Amino acid sequence: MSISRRSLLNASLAFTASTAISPGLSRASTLVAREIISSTRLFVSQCIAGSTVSATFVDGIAAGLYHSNGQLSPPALTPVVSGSTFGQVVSDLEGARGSTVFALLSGEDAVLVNEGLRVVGAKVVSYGTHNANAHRFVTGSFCAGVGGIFASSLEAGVGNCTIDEICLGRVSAAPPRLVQSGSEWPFRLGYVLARSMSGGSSDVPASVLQEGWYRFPFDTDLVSVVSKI
Amino acid sequence: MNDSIILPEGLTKTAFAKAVEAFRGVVGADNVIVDLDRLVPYAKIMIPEDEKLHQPSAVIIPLSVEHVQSVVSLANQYKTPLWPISTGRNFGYGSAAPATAGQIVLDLRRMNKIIDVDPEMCTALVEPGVTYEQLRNYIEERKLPLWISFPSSGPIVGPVGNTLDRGVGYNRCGEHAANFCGLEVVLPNGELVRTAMGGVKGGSAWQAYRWGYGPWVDGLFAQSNLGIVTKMGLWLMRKPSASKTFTAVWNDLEGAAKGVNVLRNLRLNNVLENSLLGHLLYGVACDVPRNALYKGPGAIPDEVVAEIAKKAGAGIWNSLATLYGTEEQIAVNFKIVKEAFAPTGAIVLSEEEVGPNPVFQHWKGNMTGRPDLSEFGIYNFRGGGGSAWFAPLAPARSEDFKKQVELVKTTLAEFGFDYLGGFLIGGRHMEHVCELAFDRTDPEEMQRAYLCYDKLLQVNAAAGYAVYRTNTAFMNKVADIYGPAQKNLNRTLKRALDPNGIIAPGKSGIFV
Ligand SMILES: Cc1cc2nc3c(=O)[nH]c(=O)nc-3n(C[C@H](O)[C@H](O)[C@H](O)COP(=O)(O)OP(=O)(O)OC[C@H]3O[C@@H](n4cnc5c(N)ncnc54)[C@H](O)[C@@H]3O)c2cc1C
Repeated sequence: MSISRRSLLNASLAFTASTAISPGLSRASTLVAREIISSTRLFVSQCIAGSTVSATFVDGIAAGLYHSNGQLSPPALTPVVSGSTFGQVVSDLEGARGSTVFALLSGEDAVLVNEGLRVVGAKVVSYGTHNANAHRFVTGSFCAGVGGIFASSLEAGVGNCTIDEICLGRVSAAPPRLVQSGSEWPFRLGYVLARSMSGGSSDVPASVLQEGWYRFPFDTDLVSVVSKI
Repeated sequence: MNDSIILPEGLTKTAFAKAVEAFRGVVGADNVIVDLDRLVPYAKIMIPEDEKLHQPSAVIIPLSVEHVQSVVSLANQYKTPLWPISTGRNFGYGSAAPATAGQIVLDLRRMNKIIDVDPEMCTALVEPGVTYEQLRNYIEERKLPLWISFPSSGPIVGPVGNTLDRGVGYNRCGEHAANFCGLEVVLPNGELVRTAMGGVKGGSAWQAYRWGYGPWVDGLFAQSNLGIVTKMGLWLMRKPSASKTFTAVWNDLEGAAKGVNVLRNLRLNNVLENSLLGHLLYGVACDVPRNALYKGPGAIPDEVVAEIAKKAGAGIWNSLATLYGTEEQIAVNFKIVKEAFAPTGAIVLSEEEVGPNPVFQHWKGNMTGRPDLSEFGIYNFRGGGGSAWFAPLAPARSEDFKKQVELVKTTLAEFGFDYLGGFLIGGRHMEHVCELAFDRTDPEEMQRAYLCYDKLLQVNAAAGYAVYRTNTAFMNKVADIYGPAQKNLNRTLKRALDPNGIIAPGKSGIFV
């Protein structure tokens, strides 16, 4: 049976500015080193594939991975093509076994991917819901936590947004943080998620942020997922 | 075992660790999850409460009835509550997460065998992990002349969980609680029972006759916490030789209200076997993000909705139904339908007259055995991942329709939320199913959504209405609306069957 639907498609994963950037300005790292990433896969919803929001997110991941521990060469981000059914989503996730998966998804696709992750028994390190004004993360054991690191990474910019994080491994929820920037969140989010997964400073290199297009205000509601399958 | 912070109520970490080891001895280490990262997908909810309030302590994934029985025995021994889920996709009602934090989710998805499908009797016998998509594939592959009835989230959800929560579908067998036949249940003491004709050794009428002998107990296991269903018999619809989906549209509430009486009568006369009456905005919301429709404050105003309807060439209220039978029967019945609707001012359109229209095709698919995922587009509408279905039940009468629309729409608007609703007209009754879409990234909006749902319950109760089903944040409050006598009876049953309170404490507001 074929159930037609808009589904996930690989983003165009060209490394743009990120592969050429110089190492960032350093500040004391707030990250807990996690396992070094050996293989990464990327899922991006078809409806945003190729858009500025997904391209900047992908660039952020690439930059984050490139800078991780100063050891990793830029990883090959494997394009993951999903088909037209939930079964296909599950089989794409199955195909990503042994990898760290980064995903940027529409609300609709996020529901299916979360269900797929449940079916394949994946670890979900971070599940974030995002828009220009607010970011909300749900994490499991990573109470260091992605939200706080992301908040720090945004603080230098302009505009307002709140960042909230629910960590299952922490007794009480931390109060939401209000930070002074939101506009270039996809790049910084990608960067922070990649750095969180591999350990290292979360500071976004100044040279990267000089790229004007990262400051484009994104008016899209999206979900990010980091998972180890 | 890692540092799971939430423990079952009253258990020490050491006792919990012992219980986990015991469960692992039954189902295998991999099938008992306590790793917090692996628990995240089970904790992901859409309702207006924090994940923390519904965070499971662990997940157990059994493979067989014997596993379930052993797990239940151990749960009694260690006093660990078990929250059973079948496919666990109760989106907008609590998803896979338990009613209260610390319960162990008993995920039955690996028990996914289709045990039997009988094309002559139009019946099936399935395990809890079977999805509608799986059942449909099974039928298609064998070219059986059968159609399944499923909810709008069809492909990925399943008949056992849906039916046990009294879910609804859209063909002749759409009232699922009325179309299951025979259960196998693991009781809270670990005993196994097959209900109704399932008790007769060597018998073959288990899926043919619902009532058996003596008290009919099957209803005790729906929306309840008195057992874990491990098999369910289903009644399926024989694929008709022909079908005809049509729509009747109105631009005014008065016309649609008259339409409700007509739909009820057509159903009571067995001319129609299914019918829904939906507001335009729900269909639009499954396809178009809200900020493309409206950027102003508060709920989308009626004038904007009217403008959208005009642009789309659609009605504000749209009824959809499908006639089944032979071509001759359908021709006669369609004539009856058109004549019945004429005095209401409805425009009645056949598929050919509607032309290519994805909303029409989606509902036609729902009524003719073809599930799709298109309604999940609703999660792109407002953004932020918040969803709670509000589903009051009312008699299928014009006055109740008008009252319902007024009550629900006004209350939603008071809190700044859009009316994304529709009515499933089931004959004498109708379910008024409304999606409360909100942004979970905004703590103020999440709180507002909670208060809105609460107020919706209150204003409906004051007018004599109550929801037929609710999410895990509001189960106690809804149980209160149904009154102390029912609450006491439910508790008496619970204490008798499950004195340790190990099955799904809090389900439908029932505790020991
Ligand atoms: C876009 C969209 C459209 C939807 N449309 C519909 C619709 O048309 N009709 C409708 O009814 N719903 C609808 N839903 C809601 C929901 O997705 C379905 O009702 C779905 O079938 C429920 O999930 P499930 O089948 O996975 O059941 P589960 O989540 O597995 O079970 C539901 C509940 O039943 C109980 N339960 C489950 N299994 C057992 C067991 N074996 N023993 C004892 N108790 C058990 C538990 O309390 C559980 O929480 C919709 C949701 C979305 C997102």
